[in-house]
Amino acid sequence: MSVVIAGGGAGGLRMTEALRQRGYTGPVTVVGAEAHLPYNRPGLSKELLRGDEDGIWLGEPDADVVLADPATAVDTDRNELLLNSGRRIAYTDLVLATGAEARRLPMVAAEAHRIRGLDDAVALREDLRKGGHLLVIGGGFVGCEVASTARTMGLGVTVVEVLDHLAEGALGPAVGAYLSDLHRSHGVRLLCGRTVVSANRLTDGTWLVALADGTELTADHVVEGSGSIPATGWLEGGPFTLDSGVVCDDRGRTNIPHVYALGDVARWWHPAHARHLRMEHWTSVTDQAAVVADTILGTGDRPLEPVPYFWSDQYGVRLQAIGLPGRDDEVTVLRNGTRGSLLGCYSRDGRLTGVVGVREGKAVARLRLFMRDAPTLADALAHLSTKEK
Amino acid sequence: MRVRVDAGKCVGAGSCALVAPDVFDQDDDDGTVILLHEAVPAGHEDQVREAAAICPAGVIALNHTGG
Ligand SMILES: Cc1cc2nc3c(=O)[nH]c(=O)nc-3n(C[C@H](O)[C@H](O)[C@H](O)COP(=O)(O)OP(=O)(O)OC[C@H]3O[C@@H](n4cnc5c(N)ncnc54)[C@H](O)[C@@H]3O)c2cc1C
Repeated sequence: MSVVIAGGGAGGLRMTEALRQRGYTGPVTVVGAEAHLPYNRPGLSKELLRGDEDGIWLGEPDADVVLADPATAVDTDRNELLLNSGRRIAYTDLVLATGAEARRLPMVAAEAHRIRGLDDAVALREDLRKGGHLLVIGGGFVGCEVASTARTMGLGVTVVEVLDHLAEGALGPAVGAYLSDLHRSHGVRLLCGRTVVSANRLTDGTWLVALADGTELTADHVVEGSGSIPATGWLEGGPFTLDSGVVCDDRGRTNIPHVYALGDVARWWHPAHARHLRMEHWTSVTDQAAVVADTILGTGDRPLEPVPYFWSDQYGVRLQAIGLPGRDDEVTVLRNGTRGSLLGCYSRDGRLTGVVGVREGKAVARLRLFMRDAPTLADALAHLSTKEK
Repeated sequence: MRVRVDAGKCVGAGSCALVAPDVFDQDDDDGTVILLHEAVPAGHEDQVREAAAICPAGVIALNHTGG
């Protein structure tokens, strides 16, 4: 038996750890496109960007690690992974964990910063250290975190977001408005409900960014944070079922026997939600690796942790979310505390879909068990009020 | 059995506190792990093993020497 993992990020490491934890001592090969061992990707827009490198490395997988040699295809007849160098690696089980890539909007010049990898973040940090004014295109979580870090480093910051509030695409207008206020109170100039039509670097190195309403903005640095797309380009034309990600069942199996996928590249079937979902959350990788390891080794049949979790850190406060809070869900804001805390319950047709908190870390995490039983909003509010007593 | 946590790398998901509430607590504000007992109380070993295995950030380490 020999397990090969395509992707040297969180998935490569967590998958190896899950196999080893279950007593598998056979060969594991991790193939990574980047020249780096697995690192803390969430830190790229947070600690690393502001210069704190302490927690950047995640650890070396207990595996043969091939770096800087991307996988280019899977030969599913011969059970081999093909690498850019021409190397072929035979597998009995293959895990696709190539993550995602930063989206690139066509109207934003290629020289704009995007952050997906360590090298991207280091390059942006070098630029931010020069000071000046940063313009962020896209107010999603990565855009918000970069804006927050840059403000902390003393730069002037403008964020242009097409929706009415920051992070509205993910969390809807109520929590979005809270985040917009947070950024404004830290001196960020927010241009929401505005569309970028062009962003170009001038000969003197500065940027000129034009909006659809005719506004022209200048900046020293531009970061595009317009989301990510699953890294499936190398699998196109092959035998795998792709649909914005590698389509998998609820155990991470692809349509090809002995080939699995997890992490940002994978769209798993979620029985509780009766649909395929692609999670782009750091902790989902660990949850999925446990399920895939059990499936490969036959060590158990425990289903995936059904309540996803993610967090975001901005201006020293932590936002946390569980479940699948949706943009169009109804939001019941329970606390809008003076110390800046917020607790919002998301619901749809009376069912609780998710909970989002800011500075409510313990409260949010403790609701995870409760959420497993698909409670109604009324149950959740009653549960929370008994906890408060 | 002894247990250590690297709180600096904790991401606050609270999985440990769900499976081993007598050993792990969380900060109210950001959810970071708070270790209640470095020496795992008798009878809680399995819970703590489980917590270490499912910790999404891999920050819980066990040390079996001495017991
Ligand atoms: C800036 C930033 C901040 C984030 N912050 C948070 C956060 O606060 N909270 C949260 O929950 N999540 C956050 N995330 C998301 C989180 O990092 C991802 O969900 C997680 O990294 C997914 O792990 P993965 O292994 O699927 O993909 P990745 O970690 O992206 O790893 C995939 C690896 O595969 C490599 N690869 C790509 N193509 C190939 C190929 N053909 N062959 C071989 N290797 C290849 C890539 O170079 C990469 O190293 C953030 C992401 C980014 C970019």
